[in-house]
Amino acid sequence: MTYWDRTLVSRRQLLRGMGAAGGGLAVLSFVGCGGNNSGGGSGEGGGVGASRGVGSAQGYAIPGTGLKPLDAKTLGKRGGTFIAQGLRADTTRLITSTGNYAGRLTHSSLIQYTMGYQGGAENVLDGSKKEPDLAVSLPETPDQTTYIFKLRQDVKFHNGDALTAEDITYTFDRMMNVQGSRERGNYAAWLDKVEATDKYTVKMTTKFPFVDSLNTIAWFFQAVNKKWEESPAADTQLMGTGPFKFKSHEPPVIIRLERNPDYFDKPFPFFDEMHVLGAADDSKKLADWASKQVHSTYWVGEELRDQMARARPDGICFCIFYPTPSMFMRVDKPPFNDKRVRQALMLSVDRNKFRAVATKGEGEDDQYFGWPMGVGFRKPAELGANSKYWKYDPTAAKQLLSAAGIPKVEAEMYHYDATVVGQAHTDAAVFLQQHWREQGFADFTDRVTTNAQASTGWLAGNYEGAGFWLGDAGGFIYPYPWSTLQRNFDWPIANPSANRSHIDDPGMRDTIAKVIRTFDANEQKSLLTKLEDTMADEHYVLSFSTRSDNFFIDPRLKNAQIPLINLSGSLPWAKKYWFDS
Amino acid sequence: MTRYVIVRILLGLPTLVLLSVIVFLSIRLIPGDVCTLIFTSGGNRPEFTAEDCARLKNSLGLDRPVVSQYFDWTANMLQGDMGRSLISRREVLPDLTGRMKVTMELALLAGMFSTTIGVPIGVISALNQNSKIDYGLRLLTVGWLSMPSFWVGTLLLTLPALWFGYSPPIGYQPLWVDPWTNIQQMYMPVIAIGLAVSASMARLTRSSMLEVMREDYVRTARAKGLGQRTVIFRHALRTALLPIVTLFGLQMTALLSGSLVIELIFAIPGVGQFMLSAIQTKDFPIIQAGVMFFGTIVILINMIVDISYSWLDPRLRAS
Repeated sequence: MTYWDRTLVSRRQLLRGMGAAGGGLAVLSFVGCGGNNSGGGSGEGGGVGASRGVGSAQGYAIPGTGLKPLDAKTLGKRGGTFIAQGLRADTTRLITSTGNYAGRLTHSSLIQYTMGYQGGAENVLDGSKKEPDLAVSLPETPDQTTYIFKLRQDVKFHNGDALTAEDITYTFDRMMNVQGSRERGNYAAWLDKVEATDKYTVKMTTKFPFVDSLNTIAWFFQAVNKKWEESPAADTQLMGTGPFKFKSHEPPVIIRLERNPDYFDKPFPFFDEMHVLGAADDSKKLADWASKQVHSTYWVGEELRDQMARARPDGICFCIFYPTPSMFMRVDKPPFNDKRVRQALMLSVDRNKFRAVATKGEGEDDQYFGWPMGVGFRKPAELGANSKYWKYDPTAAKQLLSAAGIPKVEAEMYHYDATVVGQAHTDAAVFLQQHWREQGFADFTDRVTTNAQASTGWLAGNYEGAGFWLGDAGGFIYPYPWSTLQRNFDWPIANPSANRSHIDDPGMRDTIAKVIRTFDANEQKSLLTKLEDTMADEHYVLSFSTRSDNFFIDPRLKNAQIPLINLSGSLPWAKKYWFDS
Repeated sequence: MTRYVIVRILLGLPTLVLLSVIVFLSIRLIPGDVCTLIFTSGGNRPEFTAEDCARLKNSLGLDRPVVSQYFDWTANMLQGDMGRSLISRREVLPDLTGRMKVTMELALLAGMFSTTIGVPIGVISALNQNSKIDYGLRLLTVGWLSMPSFWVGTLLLTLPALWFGYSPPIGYQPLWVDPWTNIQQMYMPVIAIGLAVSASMARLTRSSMLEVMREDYVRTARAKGLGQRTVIFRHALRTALLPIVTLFGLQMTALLSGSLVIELIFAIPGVGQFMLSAIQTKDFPIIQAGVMFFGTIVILINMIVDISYSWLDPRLRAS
């Protein structure tokens, strides 16, 4: 008699039971994994309505009312707590001068964008797209290098101090000079000086006529109080003149704000409180959205978008396509210093396969200047002779490499870890490496980095080889496109970290120097077209396709806007939102 | 007993000193320039000069000899000053203790959960050795051991949200502020990390009980006519608990230091995320303080485990 004969459970019964349990667990592991195979573009036309700027994907229509701002002063209702999934980054740092998204709610700028502003080259010259905030009106401009702001005289900081011109000059000074200020790079190239000519008047002088000066202020400037900023409390709390006051902060999970009853712009804001949630796992984002605990999400990729849409069919999706997947390279060093190598890499990518891996098959071909310049720029098919670089042509690619005398490109490719911007990013980078390797064009060594490593490493221009990113929140249309142009291409002056490709093209620099000084829309367009043609030939940055960024809004939230100038999701105009009931 | 406790405490001190030297020196061996890290935090890269860098290092005391820096750091630490974060400029100690409370709560609750579930399972399994109950429970515990905690956590979070529109309350409320909300926020992460731990507990309890149940004194107790409950709880379990207490101590250490992924999934402001962020940005003060904190807690936990042996086993008390 064996062991199995003595026991009450036979060997067969035990094996059956274990098999059933294992199968059950395996099935369970696939439940809730989401995934949407219901559509997706063919790659030629992309998703439904896929186009640069506002569009729809997978049938997620953007209601017309979602884009048109409502008359908040008449219709708005007081009450409630607006809970927003906030930024991706750590909310630990609350030092205003080093940049903080919740600061848009607790602080004010001299001027601000009008609600619904969509950025882009065509809009930046339109004065109607900006309105005063701390200033009583848009600035007087006696010449193209001088801006005179008259301040409101009824503004108080949350600690009761009155706002004066000295606070404005202090803020500029702090941005330009404090250690670790990330804002300095946005101003250093063009700002000359800022003076308080009287208690409520500020005069700003630029080094040259700079078309983006007001855009930069509208986006980046957050007036601070000297007494507060130089106190220890500033390390752990936000204090400004904004519609919401700081209440509490539990880094990196949540920042709680409460309504500022003394806010100068009545009747705003409407919410009693705002809670901004920090970085979260995708499953947490999904769970919070599905359980109706948040009223707006932060940007999500295609996979999570579909899961969120299924979880809450009543949610309003702002599903927007923009061109961003790109690879930058050290174009000042071999092998990428040869244009033919860059062109060969463009020709040797099957973009349909790329999209299948990176964007669930959605999107369409697009070129670099779709971002950050915004609407109005040419699609690859409209680029004349250069349109060929977006067509998959491995034969032509091989010829170019041969002509360049390089049998195969060998270099490092840096990209984010999946935990930073999602799995799709990593998959896309690995796909490209594999795709090129299989075809014999390139052998890239994979270099995966964390966010911290990237920000001081390859994203700051400190790398050898190439860097790839699929884009993330903020890869939209920049509200300050000229500034971005200069930073991205004007090596080595303005901001080396933005000119990641180490582009040193005197012709481009000359054109950029002209366009950032041009206030004439037609001339701007002409100069940008010239830059577009240059990029379409030189390919200093490889561009592949569009992808979607997606935000969800709870239908209970009224007047919410997700601008194409993104970055903070629904936050920029939160003071003008309200709950209907 | 008092002498035993004092000796245990004194034995812990050299360990802490050695730990402090190792952590202080090893962090400084990591490549990376402090100026670059601080000035470029936030993603951009403002220009900074050699004078900027020298001024920064002077303000942080980093231009002094390493030995001086060590003794200053140790002296400050003993006075409760663990410095300020190089990145956020916040004081390290309040942030660390605040987050440590959260992680300790999570670890303690998970430990309690695992013990509450695991020990009874082990006892039942042992008492019904080789029966269907035993096989079933062993299958269950093997299953729990096989499931990664991050996967369990993701399922716990996602499935109720998708099926029923339910998710724990967002944010974090301390236990002493709002106990009910705290329980609602913590029970899922507790289950996620507690399941695998309870499985280990159950298996060890089972084997320990099986061994003890075969002892002569247990047979004698039965022969004297004592009831099953008395035999198990009064005679057998107490002896069987010794290895389980050891495991509990080890598991607590692992729970304290290994809760990072669960904290990320459930957005819990614990020490795991805090330390990870500090390591990624080479924020020395936080790393040093965090490691010393952990080290101290691990030593304390093991000390408590050692002391509990003497309570559980009278033979140790007598010796």
